[in-house]
Amino acid sequence: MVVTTDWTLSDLADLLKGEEWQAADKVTQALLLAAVNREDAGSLTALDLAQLPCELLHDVDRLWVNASFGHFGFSVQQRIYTELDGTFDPASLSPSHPHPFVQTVGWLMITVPRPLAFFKFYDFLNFSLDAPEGHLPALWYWQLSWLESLRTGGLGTGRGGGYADLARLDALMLRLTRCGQI
Amino acid sequence: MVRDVYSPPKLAFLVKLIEPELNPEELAAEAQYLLEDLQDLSGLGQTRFQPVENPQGEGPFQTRVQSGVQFEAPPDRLRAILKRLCNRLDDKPLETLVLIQQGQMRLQVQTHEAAVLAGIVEAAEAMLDPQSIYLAKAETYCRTHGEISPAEDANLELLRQRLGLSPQEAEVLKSEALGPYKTLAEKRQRFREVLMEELARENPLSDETWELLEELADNLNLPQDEATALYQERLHQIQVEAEAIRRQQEAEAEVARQAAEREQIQEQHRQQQLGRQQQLDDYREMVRQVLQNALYAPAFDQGRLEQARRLWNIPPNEAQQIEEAVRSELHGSIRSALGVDYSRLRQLLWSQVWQEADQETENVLLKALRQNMEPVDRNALLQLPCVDLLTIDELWSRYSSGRFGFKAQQQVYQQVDKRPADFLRMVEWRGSRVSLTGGIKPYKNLQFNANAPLGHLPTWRWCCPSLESGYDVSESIVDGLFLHLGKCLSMEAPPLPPTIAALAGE
Repeated sequence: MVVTTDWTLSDLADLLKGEEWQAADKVTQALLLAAVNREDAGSLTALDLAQLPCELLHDVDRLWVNASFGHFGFSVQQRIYTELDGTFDPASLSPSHPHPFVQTVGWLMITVPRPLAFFKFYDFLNFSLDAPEGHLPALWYWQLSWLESLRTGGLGTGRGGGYADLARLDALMLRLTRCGQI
Repeated sequence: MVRDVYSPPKLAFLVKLIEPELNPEELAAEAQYLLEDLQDLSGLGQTRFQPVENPQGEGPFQTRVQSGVQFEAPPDRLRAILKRLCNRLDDKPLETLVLIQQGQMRLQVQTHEAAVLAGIVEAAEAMLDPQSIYLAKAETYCRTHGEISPAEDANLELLRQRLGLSPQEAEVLKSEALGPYKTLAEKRQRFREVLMEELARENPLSDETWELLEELADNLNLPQDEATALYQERLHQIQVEAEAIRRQQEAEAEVARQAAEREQIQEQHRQQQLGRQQQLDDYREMVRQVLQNALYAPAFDQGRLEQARRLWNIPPNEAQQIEEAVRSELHGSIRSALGVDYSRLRQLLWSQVWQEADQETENVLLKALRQNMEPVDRNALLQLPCVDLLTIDELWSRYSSGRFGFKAQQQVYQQVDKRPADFLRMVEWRGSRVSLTGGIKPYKNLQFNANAPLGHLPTWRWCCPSLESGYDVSESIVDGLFLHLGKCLSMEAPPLPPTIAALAGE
């Protein structure tokens, strides 16, 4: 995928209005990468996520929430993540035993039973309003460097086929919480 | 040197009223007026006036009725006397006999017309010797102006030549006329001196004194109006001085009065302030009692405070300041150099809700150091003002009895000889090195209670990008924080022990 820095919020708004969910997800990722100058890396680390500008996160989220009637968006994901707090033992989490959030939003290849919890390949995500709540945006989580992809058990194809990464997930959720305190 | 003073012979005068229209009583009265008129003339103080009496009636009923006056006068008074008599005739033309005798010469005139009487002046003067005439002229000049002006001097010179006097003789006579004070200025000066002496004795002058001074002026040949002018001038000056003194006294009194008034106002103000201060102190004491066991006043006490505020007229902002000051004193200061509000942190710690307090600690720190709430790195941490760092530390320390807070953590850090990795394990932020995760624990597995290890709280979650995957504090942050804390503590003057502080206060 070609990442350009030319995307703007209004491009995102247009795509979302046209229910071009996958394209909108890609533009969203491009906007996030540009905001922390990570266009070259092509993926967001936990530290990158922790430094995303609150205003951008807020604006992007608002567009997603509005276009999807509250179905997609960062704030939707944050709500689900927070609601799951206390329903599991944090100490038991591991790459192969992921945070229940990823299952709730439908990111796992559910055909494969745990403890081997693999993630869906990106193209096989459900880019429609039929998808589970909080299913999108997803590319911020999916897009990994080739090396990272291998390290998380993937095939150099991003998150697809690999294990969960709590650090990234928690980093964005924590970021959203911190931004909410301004 | 014996001065050759020329003393001229005296002239004898006889003035007699011979008006046939007057009855004896009227005649006597007029004669009396005449006598008084003449006595009134200056320079005749030494003169003895003798009444002239006429027999009236016949035989045994004959009575003597005063009808005139007889006296001797110095020749220089001749003109004055004749002038006075002329004036009388002008006023009341009574038939009058005037007889003037000088030695063997005798001049007699009988008239009721002033002009006729005036006509004999020259003739009368002719009776006198040249010296008398010259002296009389010189004295007249002196009397009118107090000194001899150049024009008058020229006249006198002509007179001298006409009379055939030698210049030396004339000079002696002139000196005589002028008296010991030659010029008007000297005469004025002399008169002024005497006047001042008299004024020093009594002020204003009595009529008697003034008469004496008038006589002095006369003797000095100082004209009467000059003397009066000097007296008036002097009197005026004295009045001006007295006025000035009076004004000054008034001004001083006014100043003193104003000063007293100011003093009074200040005193009132002080009293008011004292009273006000007392009220504020009372209110402060009330707040102190209320907040002794509560961070914020319970509703019931709020009502009491509200009543007190209304009673003592304490405006809300002032009351709030007092309340906050008392709260800070009782429950810990929330000073901030960055305007960060630490009141919620204090409240959470006061309530001992450790986890929320920990979260609030992150919140205040991110707000203090980061515009955008991103995690704090070492550089940002070093920018934290000491005031804020110590405020946070003191709040944690106060509510954990010294168990938590940055200073407690510093204590641990020093116990492990400032080895960051050992510090992280000592405060149990990391578990055993040999575990699967390298000892890193999820944030949720930390201990948020009063039994947590020394220095366990507050966590430094504010430097972490994520928490649930593992609360991971970098060693450079550990090093940075204690470096900064050490600097802040060394800058802060060590507090004096209470006894020394009390002594210093005395």
